[in-house]
Amino acid sequence: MPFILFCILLGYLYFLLKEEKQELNSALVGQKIPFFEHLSLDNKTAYITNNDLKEFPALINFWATWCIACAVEHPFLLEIRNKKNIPIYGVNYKDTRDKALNYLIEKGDPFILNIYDVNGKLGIDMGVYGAPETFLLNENGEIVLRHAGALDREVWNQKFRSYFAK
Amino acid sequence: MSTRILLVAIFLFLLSGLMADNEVEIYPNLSQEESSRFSNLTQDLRCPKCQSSSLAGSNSPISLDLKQVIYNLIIAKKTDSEIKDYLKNRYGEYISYDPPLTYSTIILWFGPFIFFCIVIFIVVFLIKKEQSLKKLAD
Repeated sequence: MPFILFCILLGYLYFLLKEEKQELNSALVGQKIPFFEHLSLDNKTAYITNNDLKEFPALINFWATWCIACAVEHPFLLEIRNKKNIPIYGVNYKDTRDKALNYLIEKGDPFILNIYDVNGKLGIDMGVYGAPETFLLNENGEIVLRHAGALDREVWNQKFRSYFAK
Repeated sequence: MSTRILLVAIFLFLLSGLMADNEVEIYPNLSQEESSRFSNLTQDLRCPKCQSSSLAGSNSPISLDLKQVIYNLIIAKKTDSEIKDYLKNRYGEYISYDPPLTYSTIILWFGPFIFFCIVIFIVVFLIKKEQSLKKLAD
């Protein structure tokens, strides 16, 4: 009997640990992207707003040159953009414009446009807690899910692919 | 010699803890009341990145950003509940250490109680079983 008790306790603690590690759902699921008006990364004088996001379903990817996992997922973003024609809106998060532009020249640019979120305001409005984070928007432009961490083939197949299958 | 090294290591360890505790984050132009509200809010809200720490106890980039947001909202004369709602709307109920009773938080509220009941049930069961075994033996 003490063994059964021990097993129950162990199971309960494991459950708590698992819960703790679980990825947080976005609080914005089912909602449209909050209003924003930010400078474009590519053009120092042009502003991008919600109205510039026109292609759906789409991804919004928060990235930065200082983020190692962003460099890891970059080839995969290029692949889904180039081979599958997935619209990806980039949000350059708390970064330096020159570094970000050089990074895209060097590694390729998978984004159809790039929002320059230099102080992380859009990040906070979307509940972002680090980079990279990828949001999936459905055909109505509503947030379906958020993935925190690098986007790879496995994650794509599990969470994202079905939304783009026609 | 090794004792000396050990003493120095212990001293440095204690000193680092002391320095961390005394780390001064400067948020100027707060009255005493606002300053204590800031302190309470940062202790009542959880760091979304580190999860096991409050905003007050974390220096991760997102915690620093959110502390700055709280500071700005206090300066903008927002109430505590408005500030909490602002952050909950963006980061979800998870950011609060005081989650409301909803379908998704049932386990948080009742998990420990249910677990406690199971343990009590098992203990009572064991005691009764032992007593009945003793009676049989007698």
